[in-house]
Amino acid sequence: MDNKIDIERAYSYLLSYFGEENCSDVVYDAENLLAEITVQAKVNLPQKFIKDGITDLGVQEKEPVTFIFSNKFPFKAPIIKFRQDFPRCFPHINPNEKDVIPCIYEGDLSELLQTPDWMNNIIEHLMVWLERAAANDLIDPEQGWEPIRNDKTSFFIYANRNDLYSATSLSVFFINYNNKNEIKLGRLSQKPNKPCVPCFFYEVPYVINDYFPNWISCFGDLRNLVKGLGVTDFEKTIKAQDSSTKQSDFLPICLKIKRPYNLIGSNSNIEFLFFYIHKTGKSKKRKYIEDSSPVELANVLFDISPETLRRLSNTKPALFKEIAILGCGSLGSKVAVHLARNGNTNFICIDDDIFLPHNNARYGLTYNLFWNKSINVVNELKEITGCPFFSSSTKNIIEIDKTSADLILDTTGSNSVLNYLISKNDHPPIISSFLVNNGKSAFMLIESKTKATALSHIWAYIYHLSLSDSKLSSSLFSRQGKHIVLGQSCSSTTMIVDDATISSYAALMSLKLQNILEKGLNDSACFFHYSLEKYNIITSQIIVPMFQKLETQCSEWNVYILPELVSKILKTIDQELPKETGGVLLGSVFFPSKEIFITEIIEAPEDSVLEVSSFKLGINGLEPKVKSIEAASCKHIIHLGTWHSHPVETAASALDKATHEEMKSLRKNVPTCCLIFTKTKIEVLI
Amino acid sequence: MSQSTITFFPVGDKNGGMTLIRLNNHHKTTILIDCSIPSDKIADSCDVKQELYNRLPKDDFGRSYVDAFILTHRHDDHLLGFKDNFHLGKISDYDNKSKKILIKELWSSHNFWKPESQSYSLCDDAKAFNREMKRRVDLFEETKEIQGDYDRAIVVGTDPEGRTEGKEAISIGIGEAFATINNLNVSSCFSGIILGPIGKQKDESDKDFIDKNRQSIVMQITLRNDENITQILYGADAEYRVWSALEKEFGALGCLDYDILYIPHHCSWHSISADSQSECDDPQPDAGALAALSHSNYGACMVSQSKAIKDDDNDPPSFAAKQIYLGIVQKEYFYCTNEYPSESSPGPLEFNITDRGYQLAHTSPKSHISTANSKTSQTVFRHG
Repeated sequence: MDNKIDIERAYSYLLSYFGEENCSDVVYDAENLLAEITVQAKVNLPQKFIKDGITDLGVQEKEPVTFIFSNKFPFKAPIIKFRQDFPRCFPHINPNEKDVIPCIYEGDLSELLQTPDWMNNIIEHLMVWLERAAANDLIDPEQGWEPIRNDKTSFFIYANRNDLYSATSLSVFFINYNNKNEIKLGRLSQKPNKPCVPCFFYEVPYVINDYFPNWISCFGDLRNLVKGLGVTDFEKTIKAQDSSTKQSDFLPICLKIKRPYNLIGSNSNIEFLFFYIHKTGKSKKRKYIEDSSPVELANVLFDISPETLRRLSNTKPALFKEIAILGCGSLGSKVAVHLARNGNTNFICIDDDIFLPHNNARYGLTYNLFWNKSINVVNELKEITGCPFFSSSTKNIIEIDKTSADLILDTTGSNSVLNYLISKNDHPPIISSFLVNNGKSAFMLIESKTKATALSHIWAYIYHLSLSDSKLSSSLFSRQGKHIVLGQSCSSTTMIVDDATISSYAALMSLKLQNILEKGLNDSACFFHYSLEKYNIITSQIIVPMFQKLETQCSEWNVYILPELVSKILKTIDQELPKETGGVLLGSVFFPSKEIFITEIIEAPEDSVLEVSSFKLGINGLEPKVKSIEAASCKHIIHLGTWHSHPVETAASALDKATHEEMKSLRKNVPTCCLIFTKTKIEVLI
Repeated sequence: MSQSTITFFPVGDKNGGMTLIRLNNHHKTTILIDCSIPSDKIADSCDVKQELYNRLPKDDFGRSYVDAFILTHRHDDHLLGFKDNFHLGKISDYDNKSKKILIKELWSSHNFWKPESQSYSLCDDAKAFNREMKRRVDLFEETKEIQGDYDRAIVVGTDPEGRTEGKEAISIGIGEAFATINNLNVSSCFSGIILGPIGKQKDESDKDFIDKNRQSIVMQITLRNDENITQILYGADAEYRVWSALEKEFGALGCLDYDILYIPHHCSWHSISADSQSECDDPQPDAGALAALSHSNYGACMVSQSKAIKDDDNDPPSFAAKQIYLGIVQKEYFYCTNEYPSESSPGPLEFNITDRGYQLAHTSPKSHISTANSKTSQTVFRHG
């Protein structure tokens, strides 16, 4: 062995802990492939057994433990072996081994060996194992109940977790298989799918607190076990089941046992033991079970399920019953897949587009060409989650009009879809996400829980902020975006952006979306602004304040104003008392929803005339100011009209009304409003 | 941790007391009895402070805490490092950088009301302890409501000057059983009965009565695991007169039974005998005290939380006293904290409470790297 130096070093660790008197020499085998060191480990026994030097289950005060080192040590950990007659009744002993080999570590022992404390880590785990065995306390409730294992079985059953949990003593399932694998790998199903054998369930009526290793080798053993677990009429029912499966060489049965704690790696305390009874008895007409019939414990492999995905992702079930995902393009598909991998289900994926070859440039998954994108994505989501609760619609949301979802996630990046969504106020809350400026930025707009601050409000606020936030402005209104035409029609243009960039945004958006699915929407709306800077994505979250809704006589339009503007106007009025004063209003207009948002004001120009009972708005320098705002916001913020004050509590005068009409006529029906501020109210002429 | 544990820490040159009980309930309740946290390692080997911190739970803010701190009496060796290692005062004043341990519930005998005087000195740690106890009791006094975590106090025994009156909600009397720790019922795995400090005895002088050791809290603690119970008789520094009286009052009631005996007063001779070793030709143990400390269950062990016990005139720990205890249990069942696992390299003495009685926890292997680092940094290397 060319690793003798390493083995000697390991030996020094064993000597140091167990003492020279308790360590054998290093013994190399004849072929020089293995080295063995046996130590006498001193096990602290519980109080009741100290005097006898051995526990009731047979753990001794001095336990010989052999460390077997291969020529791959220290990259491979030594095998740890107990004496041949060490009691095998404990959990965490590798089954099906001739030697007694404990499982002392929840993980790979070779990995444990690579840590700084090296062999000491193995010694520590070994001593804990022996100590717990002495106290018959090897099952740690925090780790979970060790299921009974059969590492050498050739039988595997692939099952759906929910099917198994729902099974009772009366249940009969079917193990479907194909002829080639001769039942070695069977799929458990509630429906027979030939070839198949029926599988009968036996539910143990009590919580079984005792661990027992798999000692069942024949039907006689199995019968005694089942009887001992308190299942009545086992012999009678198994006889009937034996007769009813005459043609089969096997009779599979499943014991459903309730344990005091959850099983290791599971969030359930139910253990399923599948036994295959080989029918060895033969008569002219049939094969039958006899006491000596061999019995083999099969291993159960569970389908992937949303529960498992949630456990792996550390996520919680969504509060929403159904989530509509609009758009199954590059962003939508990636977000849907992230959320599904987190164990979320019940998506309705909506997209009227088909998958074309160029779509491969920016998809995490490969799809069926020329299939509708929503169908492709839904098929993928079903595969990922092992759950059928996904549906697709090959129409556009505008055509569908209504959805049963209680949350909409719009990833289309389409303005027509956005305007449609804005136009209807009976939609559930909406989250809108999209990329802009060749993927240099992305946005996610999130409506408030009650939709009191809806998408149009968020957009109006974004436009407002863009006037003072150059980063936001350049993300929204940059003209550097490049598009490419891939089809023969003008509608086949698409943004130039690489897959990794979209994946990065999709991942970040999914993190927030998962949080929303688990905790619900907030009382306030907000938006996320993502910017790609070199190799970082800078994320800022901005809370959108609630706009103040102004009462109007007009039923067609709703008018909102930023609360901060009202304060600003009232301050100006106070300063000019007792004279009237006024100014210019600017903001955003949303035609689909018939909403006007007043977000900016321009002070009265110098040539304005302020009197006690009248106000004349001047024009000096006004036009350049308005134009500059319109340009900066790409015409999303426009001149909306005027405001003026009535220090004396009076309604709009005849002159006010005439001026408003004149303004409307000059503006050729572009929405125009005049606000009249008194001490107690704001009157709106529209 | 699937079992409750009890840990006895090694002590410094002046003896000392510090015992940690960690319960295997849902809340993982932690109880610290006394503290003895020397600034130096014990025998250059055991960093007691680190060993304690390693065993303490942390709250959501990463702060170490104990659910209850029980002070048996106000001697410096049972409060060593209290001020420096525990947060005292309002929780809002906690300094994250200090890394101090938070105490959710503070237990003391009524003696914390007894002020320092010429004939009754208190160490700085004891004064700090008294202040903290008073702060918490005053909060109860003001509101008449049991306070929340970090402000709650429990007073053990009845104050002869009547100051426990009206504080029954936060008091436990002598002879009273308890199973609530940190306002949580922990009876599934823990219960206790308060046995001392007992009242003044007939033949006892005032001076003897007010002695701090004499006023130690004595308890029988029961730790449960399934159907098995492990009883711990915790004697603190109570002396022979107390034990003799306890035998009379509780001996027949099973309240002195034990699986683990915390040997009183660091295995001193005075804890079991009225006779002076230096003045008496043939000093004998007090029959009542000996009887009180002999209620050992099958397989019981004893723990002397003290310096190593040598065959010399030192007291405590007293070699002669150890011989008396060895008449009750066999040598293998007698542990001295500073001799475990070896005198040259002592470490915490820890027992798991299994459903088959106590079980000594194995000693973890010494880290070769830490040892190498430590030895290297403690050695002066000469270079040419």
